[in-house]
Amino acid sequence: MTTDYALTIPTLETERLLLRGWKESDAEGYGELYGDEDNAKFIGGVMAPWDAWRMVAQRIGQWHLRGFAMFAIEEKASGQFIGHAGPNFPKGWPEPEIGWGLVKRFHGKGYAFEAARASLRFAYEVLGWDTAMSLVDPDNTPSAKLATRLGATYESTQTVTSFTADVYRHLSPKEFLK
Amino acid sequence: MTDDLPLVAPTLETERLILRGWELEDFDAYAAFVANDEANRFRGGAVDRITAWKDFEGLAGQWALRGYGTFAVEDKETGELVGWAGLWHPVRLDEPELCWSVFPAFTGQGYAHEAAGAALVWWTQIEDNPAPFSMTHPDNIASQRVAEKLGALRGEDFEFDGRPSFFFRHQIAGREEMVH
Repeated sequence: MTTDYALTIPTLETERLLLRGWKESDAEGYGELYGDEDNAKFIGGVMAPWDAWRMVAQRIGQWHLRGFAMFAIEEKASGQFIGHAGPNFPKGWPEPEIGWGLVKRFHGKGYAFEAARASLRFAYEVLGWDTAMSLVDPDNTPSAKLATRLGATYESTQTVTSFTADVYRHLSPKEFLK
Repeated sequence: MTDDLPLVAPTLETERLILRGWELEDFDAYAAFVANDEANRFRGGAVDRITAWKDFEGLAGQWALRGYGTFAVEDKETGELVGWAGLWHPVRLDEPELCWSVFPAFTGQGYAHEAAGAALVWWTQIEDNPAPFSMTHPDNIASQRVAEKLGALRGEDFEFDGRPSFFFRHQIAGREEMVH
């Protein structure tokens, strides 16, 4: 009566990063990402430490439920967890988005751009999306810059569930993949 | 190019029910239930849809982290989701809790006992798994009856999430378990 099957999360490799499935040990780094007030204010607020484990479970849960979700990002050189990026589509979002977020001490190296670009490529090439957007907190200038550098343009400001976000529309698959 | 995470939920069958992994299509029924203040009065009250989604993702994702979790429970005949049951084990619990919840429209038919019993049998058939515990609010008489009918023994009262809780230790036939 038992039907076991594996939940498969692909691994994307970039020059310096692995975007991969989640491990229980990622909760520690995730706690650092969401425990940092400067970081967390743009992504839903500071969490209790035990919430980081739950966040890892949620990411895996969305992979199971939707067939896609954010990846854990690992720095190839060190093997360290440095953040998350990828397609993200909670219930209540107007449409799927490409999200990203890095632990603070890994900022400033272009890692978020590298991960976001690989994520967008994955969404278009593997998931077959015909459009993509990112939700950016109106005060989150670094993320807005990253979106712009990816080729995205500001489209609108929307209330999404309980927060307000700027919608950045990415290049179309044809423009982005050329 | 792939990492294989371990388990998602197996499928279990009882006389009237199917216990299976969570699916996206279950969310609306799940969210409607947890938005019902009266039905959730023993679990801290209603939650909004966003919180419901996060909790729902967490229920689905626990399987890959733990190798066990909660099952979506559906009526075999109609295919309707009637609730959930299984091994809930967030990081702030030291051990898994055998839990069950049946939506108001389906209570009073013994579904909770049938579903939780199937999850308990599945769990205890895995060698060396310890007998799980269950907690119920002191006023949740229906849930206490389910625990007792499953053969669980009452332990010492405790507090969870700031709410008083009765403690039950399930019993595995052929193994001696301490109640604490």
